[in-house]
Amino acid sequence: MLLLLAVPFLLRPGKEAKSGARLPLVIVSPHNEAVQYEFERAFRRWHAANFGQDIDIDWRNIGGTSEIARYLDSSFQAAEKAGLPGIGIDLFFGGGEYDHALQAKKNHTTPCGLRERHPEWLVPDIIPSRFSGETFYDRDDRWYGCCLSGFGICYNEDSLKYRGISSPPHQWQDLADYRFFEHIALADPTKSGSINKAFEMLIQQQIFAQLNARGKTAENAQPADLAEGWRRAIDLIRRIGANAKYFTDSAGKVTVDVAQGNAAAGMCIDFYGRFESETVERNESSARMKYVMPENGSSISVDPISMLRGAPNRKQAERFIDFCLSVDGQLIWNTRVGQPGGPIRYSLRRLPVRRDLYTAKYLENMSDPQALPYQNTGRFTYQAGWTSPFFNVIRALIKTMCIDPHDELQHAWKAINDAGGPAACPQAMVVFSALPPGAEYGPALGQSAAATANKLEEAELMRAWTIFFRNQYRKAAELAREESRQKAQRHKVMKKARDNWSVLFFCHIVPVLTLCLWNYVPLCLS
Amino acid sequence: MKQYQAIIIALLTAVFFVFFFFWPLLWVLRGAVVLDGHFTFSILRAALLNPVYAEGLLNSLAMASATTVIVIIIGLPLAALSARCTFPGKHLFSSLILVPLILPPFVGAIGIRQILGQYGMLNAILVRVGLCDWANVFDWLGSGRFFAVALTEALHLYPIFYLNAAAALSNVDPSMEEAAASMGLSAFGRFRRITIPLIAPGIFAGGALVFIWSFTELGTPLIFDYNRLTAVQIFDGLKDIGSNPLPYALVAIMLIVVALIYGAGKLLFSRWQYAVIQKGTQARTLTPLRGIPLVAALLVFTFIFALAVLPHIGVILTSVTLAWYKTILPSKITFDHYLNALGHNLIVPSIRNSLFYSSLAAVIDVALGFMIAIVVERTKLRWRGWLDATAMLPLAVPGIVIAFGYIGMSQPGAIFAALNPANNPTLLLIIAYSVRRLPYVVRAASAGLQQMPAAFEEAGASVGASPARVTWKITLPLIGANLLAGGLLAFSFAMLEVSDSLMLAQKQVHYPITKALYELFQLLGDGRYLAAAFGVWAMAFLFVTILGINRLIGRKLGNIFQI
Repeated sequence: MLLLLAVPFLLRPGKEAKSGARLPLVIVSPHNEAVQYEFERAFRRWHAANFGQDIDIDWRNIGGTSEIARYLDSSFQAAEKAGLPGIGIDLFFGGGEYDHALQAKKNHTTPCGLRERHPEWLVPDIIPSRFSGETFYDRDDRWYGCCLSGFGICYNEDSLKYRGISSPPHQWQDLADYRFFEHIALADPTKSGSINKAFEMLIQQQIFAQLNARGKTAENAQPADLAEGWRRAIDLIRRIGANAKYFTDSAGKVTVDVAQGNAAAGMCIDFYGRFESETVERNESSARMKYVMPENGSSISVDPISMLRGAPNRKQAERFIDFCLSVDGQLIWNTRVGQPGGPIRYSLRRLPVRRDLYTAKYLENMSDPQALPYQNTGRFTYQAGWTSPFFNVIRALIKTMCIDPHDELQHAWKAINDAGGPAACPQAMVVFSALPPGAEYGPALGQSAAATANKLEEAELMRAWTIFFRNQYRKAAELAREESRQKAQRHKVMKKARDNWSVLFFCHIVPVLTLCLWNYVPLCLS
Repeated sequence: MKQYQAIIIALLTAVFFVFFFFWPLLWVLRGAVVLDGHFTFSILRAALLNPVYAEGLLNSLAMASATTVIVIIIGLPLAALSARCTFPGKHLFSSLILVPLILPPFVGAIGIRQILGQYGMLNAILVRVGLCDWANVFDWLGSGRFFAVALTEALHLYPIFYLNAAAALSNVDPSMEEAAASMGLSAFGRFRRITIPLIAPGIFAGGALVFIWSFTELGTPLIFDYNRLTAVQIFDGLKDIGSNPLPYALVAIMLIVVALIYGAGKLLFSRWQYAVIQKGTQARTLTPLRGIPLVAALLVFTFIFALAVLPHIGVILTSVTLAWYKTILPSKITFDHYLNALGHNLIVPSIRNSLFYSSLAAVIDVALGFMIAIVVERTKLRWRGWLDATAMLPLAVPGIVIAFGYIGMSQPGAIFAALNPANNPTLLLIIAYSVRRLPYVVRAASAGLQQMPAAFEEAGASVGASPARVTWKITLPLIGANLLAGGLLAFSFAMLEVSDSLMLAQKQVHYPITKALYELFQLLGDGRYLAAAFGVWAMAFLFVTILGINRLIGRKLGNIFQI
């Protein structure tokens, strides 16, 4: 036992020398230890160089973003009851734009003054206010995006080969191919605003495709076009959901499963995809794991930083925000370990938000110089009016349509494909693709969106939709089997008829003709 | 024990439960009945009427039943073999019995997936022997998920039942069975009509723990992506970005169901409690196994143990893996993961913290568990049954729910503000660990007391010994091994506790082992390998600790429940 205990003690790194007085800073963050380590180290150096004092960062790690959101809610509630100005924490660092916007809406965050201190950064060439349909910083100065991430497709070339798929998936609709059945790993939109946003972008992409097919543009789109595009998009999500092995909130699970072949392809965050691909290549000398960003099918969103209301160490917090958005802070996200201005222990592989870093001078030291988020995304203009009012409905719809009735959805999809595929089962497909009235694009969807604002109404709506989809999928499976049976029966009848015709032909017609010919030919010849 | 003494002990334990279990729980569960400041049953109604949640509850009950049945099928024959026979290797198996339970969080799932994955070890063996090819491999994780989950849980949990059953069997007076034999009852008849009723308390103790554990188990269903279970639905709901109130309603429903089932089980088994049973005062002669029975016994033990430790083997191999894909064993190995993991600055403080938190939690559990068992088994207090059932409820509450409750009740301005984990979570973590693991000690102590005749204590009291002296001189020595076994389980599980650790230990300086493991696991790239390496260290440490305690008390682990 002593030997076991001794090993970690012998291997532990030497203690870092601590200077005397250090200014405190309290940060709550879902970022992993690697991000915390590199930012703490670099900020302390930057702060000492600029202000002559060391900083002591008190990181508060209480799990993922959803745990932090609940923690902030309950802490601010308690602080208000106790008449306290804040919760003793200065900054909320990391998570998605959705989470920071929500905290701002709840009045848990406060303007941090960056707009006044550094107006020169908040220009389209450095930090745009919006890009690819995403907001990069709060107009009221409460939160600012620090780094970028997007959702893409990772796939395992071995698994594709074994499933007979010769061309790798490069668009979301490729994942609806039945050959991927039970081999798609999906991210769960109910657990993360960023994932839900990715699904919203998929819907926008399909609406645009529908408009293109009808020769229209966003400007002259009619409600009927939007409704049809919405319907097609939801149907695509349903088919991808039917192929899904699972929906997960664990960002790392999808990439590991795809790399190990437990799923053939998956929807993952860009830097997880790139990191896993590189790890497989480095450790195993194998190029089987690939990551692609669907062209025009994905947006890039930011991981922001917010100043919390009643921050006890406001000055240091402001400086930390300034550092994060300065070139010095931005370089940490993607510069290779050991390169000037980069991290010293961990390669973070995240993409900086500052546009001016995507130039040759900085790209040569970056881990992912080919990523170029400002060039590779945002080629269509996000139409906020089309889908953003239904942001919560999208989440509720995917949960009730794909996640909760997943077993029934898969049985129906399998039955349809066993019966020859969607084209062979038109009746079953009508039932399979049906939407409840409240999920059809138009005023009804608006009512559903209003219902999601009230927890009880939302629960009732979701219950009704879950029941609707379960029943539809059960009926669709039954119809597909019935259509398959009918088809088999028709086939049998046809076969019987063919057999009967064969009997008639060979037993009756051929002998008669032969007889005729036998008698007629000599007659003719004579 | 005098009535007023019993009431004081009961009140003390009740106060502990009220403050550190019900208070935080109600703080969270009010979300199930309070909406926008108004009391309502609509959320509970919405949860109950949703067919997916109703099905989840039924599936959870079926899963718990199936797991318990499999555990009994595995555990009872093994316990009978161990308690009645002697064979070479028996002590080794007894020493290893807790190993299946010692599986670190996060990396355990990787171990299982590495073995049962589509391009994992098992399919690599099948491809190697020509039973399939890589294009048509079997999806072990995706097929027959209900039984796969039940079997995996059973293989993980059978030691709990085995320990209880083996202890109960050892405590049966052999003269009872000999008398039955002399009356001409067959061996099977003796087992069914004499042995089973006599060991009922042990079966109930082990069975109840396994049933409730598997009813609320989250990790194994998530590995197999089997989601239509209440525990998984609660977890999903809690993670929902829409602050969904339904998971709180589901937790309330789950608690009620567990209490009802436990009560029903207790009622059923109470028919078989024989208060006048004499503990085996004469030593049982163990039957030495030879020839075919010996080979059969060894095969059974080895087979069950090998299946149960497959995830552990997966974790151990993962910890040295550089490449393990479509091969039976890793094709490239490295020991760098150990250097990088154990040399990480998080590790040493986390080991120190975990040892401190878990040891104190185990001590509190032993003290509280003993007091509760005394009240339940040795007094006639009218509401002692409630105390017994209450002590089991912590098993039915998801860790994340109670962790939110602790955070809520320790906010500034609240009555437990002094315990705020943001300042120092030590006290709250010790309390959280002890509450969550108390059921093991209560069941172990109760089983011990049920099988110990009260006449021993009455004899002590009749010659003028005070209740404290009777407890110290008679009761404690007689059920000391039970308490130690329960405490050992409490300590081991506290070392592996996840949810409380993740949420309450917010600063690195307070991290326990599981939070350090989580942080390593979160690192991109080699994170899972580093976590596996640290996980192997944690498993080895727990195993050596258990062996050390065994040696300290001079008994083998398999006999720890015996008195």
